[in-house]
Amino acid sequence: MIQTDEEIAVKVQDGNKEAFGEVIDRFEKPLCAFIYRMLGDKDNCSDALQETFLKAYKNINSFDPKRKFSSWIYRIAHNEAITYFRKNGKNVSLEDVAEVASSIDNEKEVQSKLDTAGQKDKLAKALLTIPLKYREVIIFRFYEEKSYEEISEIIHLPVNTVGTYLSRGKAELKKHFKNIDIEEIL
Amino acid sequence: MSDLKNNIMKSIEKNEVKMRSKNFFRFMKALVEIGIVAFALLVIFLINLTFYLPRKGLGLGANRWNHLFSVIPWWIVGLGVVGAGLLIWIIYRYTGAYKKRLIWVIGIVSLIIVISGFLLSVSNFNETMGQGIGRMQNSLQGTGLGNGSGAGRGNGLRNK
Repeated sequence: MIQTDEEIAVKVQDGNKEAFGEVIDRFEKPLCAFIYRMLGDKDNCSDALQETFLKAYKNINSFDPKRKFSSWIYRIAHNEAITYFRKNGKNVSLEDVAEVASSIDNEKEVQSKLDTAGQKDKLAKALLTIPLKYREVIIFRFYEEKSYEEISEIIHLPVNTVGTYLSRGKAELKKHFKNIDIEEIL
Repeated sequence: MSDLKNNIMKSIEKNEVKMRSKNFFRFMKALVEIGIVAFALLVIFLINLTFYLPRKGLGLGANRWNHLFSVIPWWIVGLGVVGAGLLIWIIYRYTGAYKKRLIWVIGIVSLIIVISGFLLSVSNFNETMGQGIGRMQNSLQGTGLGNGSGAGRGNGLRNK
């Protein structure tokens, strides 16, 4: 029987260290993709990811099993990404972004709607040029496919504000895509 | 097993990374809750003084507004505002208040503080507290520990 993320978290809370390996297996790829898109920088990404898992283990007893574990661990990853962005945010290299876009292997809807690898690269680059607060809600909504409520819980903003940031983020992205209907992609 | 998983699991096995206990988080939660209540009481007390002290020193002449302006204890108002700001920040940061718009949180907390401070100022709390302080100073004088400066006459916070 497949255990839920919350059940595995409870096992870790009960002292089962091996169960944390399962947490890493489940969240390494999605968190890596999220941090990659946020930072656009490979080196900082792996550091932030490692720090995310170490903090998650250290603080796992603060997790309330009645809530969603993925939102809890994404919140830690979000905080780490923000920390790394503040340290190195101005040095994001757009040359790395094409690599970032192609190396994230996921079949999310937004990826499949983009026709060519060139378009995916362009969207990834465009994402890195818009303000971080808009970028992260777009990543959560359209790449991680989170609900407004989950995004609100992760970034600690009211649900209405999440909606506002999404609209503003899309408007910013439209400036980069004159020939493509961004509303259709996102 | 990925390198990342390998490194993390090794650190955990070697106890280089230790899990914080549930009691640690319970203690921290209690600390935040106590902090919020204590801070709220302090801010309400300061706001109460900003209502109470000018009322006690207020005249009724033509220059009433100028007089009112001069008798308001601005340093207490300043402390109250800074305290209220900190209180709002703690509530927004450490409770589920982030689900509401910040402007609402600021408005509701400020309203509660101002109303509570006003109600406290019209109650006999300040007189009772002033008398209590006076009695304490008188008894200290009686034992030779007071400085006999005259403050301990049961007036306490009263400006009359």
